[in-house]
Amino acid sequence: MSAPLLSGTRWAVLRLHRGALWGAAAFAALAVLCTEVLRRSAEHAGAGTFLGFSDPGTFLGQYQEKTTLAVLLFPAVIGAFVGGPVLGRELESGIDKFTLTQSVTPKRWLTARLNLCAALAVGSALAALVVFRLSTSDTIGTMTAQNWMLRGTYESTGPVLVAYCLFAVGTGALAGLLLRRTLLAVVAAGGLTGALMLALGTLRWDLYPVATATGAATDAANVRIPGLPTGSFLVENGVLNPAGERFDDLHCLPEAAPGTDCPADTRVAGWYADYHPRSHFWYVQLIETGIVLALAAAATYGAFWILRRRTP
Amino acid sequence: MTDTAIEAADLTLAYGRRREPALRGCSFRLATGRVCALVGPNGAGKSTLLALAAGLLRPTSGRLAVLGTTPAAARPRVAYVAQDKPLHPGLSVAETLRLGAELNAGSWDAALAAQVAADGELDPGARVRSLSGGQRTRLALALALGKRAELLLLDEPMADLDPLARNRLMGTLMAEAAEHGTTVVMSSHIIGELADACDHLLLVSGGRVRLGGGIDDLVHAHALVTGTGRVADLARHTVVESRATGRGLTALIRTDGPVDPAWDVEEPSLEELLLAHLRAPDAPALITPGTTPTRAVAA
Repeated sequence: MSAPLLSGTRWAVLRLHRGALWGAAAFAALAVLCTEVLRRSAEHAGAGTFLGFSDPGTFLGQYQEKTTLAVLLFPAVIGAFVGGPVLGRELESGIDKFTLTQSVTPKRWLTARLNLCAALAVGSALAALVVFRLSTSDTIGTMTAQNWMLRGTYESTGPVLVAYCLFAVGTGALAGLLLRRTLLAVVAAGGLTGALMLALGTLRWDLYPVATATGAATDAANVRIPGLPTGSFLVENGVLNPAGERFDDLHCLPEAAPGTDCPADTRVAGWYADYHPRSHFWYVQLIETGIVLALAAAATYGAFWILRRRTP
Repeated sequence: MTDTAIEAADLTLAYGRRREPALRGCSFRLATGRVCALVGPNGAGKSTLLALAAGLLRPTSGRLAVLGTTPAAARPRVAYVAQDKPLHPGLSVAETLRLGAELNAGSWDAALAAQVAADGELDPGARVRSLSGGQRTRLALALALGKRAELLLLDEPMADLDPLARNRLMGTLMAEAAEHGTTVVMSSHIIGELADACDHLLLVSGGRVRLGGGIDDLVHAHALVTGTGRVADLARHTVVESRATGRGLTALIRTDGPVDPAWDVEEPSLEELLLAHLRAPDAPALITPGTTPTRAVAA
């Protein structure tokens, strides 16, 4: 006889967090519905003002920018949920004395809870990805293609979002078990997840080598960068002297500004541009996903280690 | 099967490096089938001892065997009710019982758990947070009994019950324990509450077992003597506590052979025995032979 789908620890975990699950589902449905309604009406609206914006395109641009930024909060919310309501509250109120003395082993009980949270996190991250990917048509599509490197757009259109959500589950478990206080664990897990996203957001473009374009200077007084491939993300640019040394023409010409590091020879012989072409999106996404997943695994291992150390 | 429910050897638990250990060098053995009172003053280590046996804590040092195995391995065969009766406040009574069934699938006795809950007139639809202290205790006991454990660990189970509810709940508990041969360990600092129900006693104080054994054996081993003699006249016995009274001297002694007929000898009540030991923390511990740990565990 195979166990029914909803029995044992699975039933228990679903029942204990029923309210939160319904709330999350309702919020997700509402968000998707709102987005769809607004997008459709904006695309079918004629020229002229739309909901107080000068035209529907401006509205959609703002909406896309703000919603992708809102998606950045999502992993932190998951971390706070796992650390606080799921684990911290149980330890703070002493209900763990009930839970940990049933026939189900503490390890299985924690596994069941984290499985549910991971499923919830991955499921909702995938749903957000699908919504953002599917909606990359029309105005939003053009904007996503242009802004792929921007914070928000970058995270909400690739697998890093799933990785960050899993990291949040691991960190939440670790914080909840370690701190044993709802509020502290909420702050710690949410904060750590947010801090990691912030840190990797500034480091991620160094994770993959940039492409470099160079060319001869056609007009030394007015060095311009000729067109990089469409949608490229310019990281750094400047000029080269005849020896091929890089320097910043704005700081070093006509004479070196104080405190800047300029070569002795400041004749402009060419220009250079370091940039990430659109194709680097996937390399950076996959490298970052790998790093975050490794950190998620470490945090989860830490949570189980604490549980094992504390209960026999 | 084993005939030993709990066996502790030199068990020590410290909650932090700088704090006094809650238990230090605690050793005893409890045979199966006993109904044991675990008594002692507040902070004596009663709750710590029960939590260790329930597999909630890891001892700092020493050894602890429960039902012949480790506390972790014995978890499915042990039921534990913590002092504050922790239950999920958002669940209804029926859902709480279902939770017990789902988390103890191997041994759950749904009929018994439902019966214990129904006897207390618990509304199955009522939320746990709306229950009174007594109802909450009954629900926690229903969960513990439904688990059909071989060892029942109850930490101050009757503390928040009125005398009638206490009497009824104790009746249910004792009937179940007697029917299934369950070993019960109940802690309390109210001595009278346990005297009738229990046949075994562990007095814990200062993190150690001070008295351990069958209640009758322990009472018989002591005598309450009154007379005009001096304490030195009682030197062949162990004097637990002595104090001057109007007519002379009253002392609780652990008898070794007959007492000089010059003294009036009475058998002490359980309460007198316990109070004397609590007032005299330096009196040597007495653990009757069946209650000392066997060499196998002590080694």
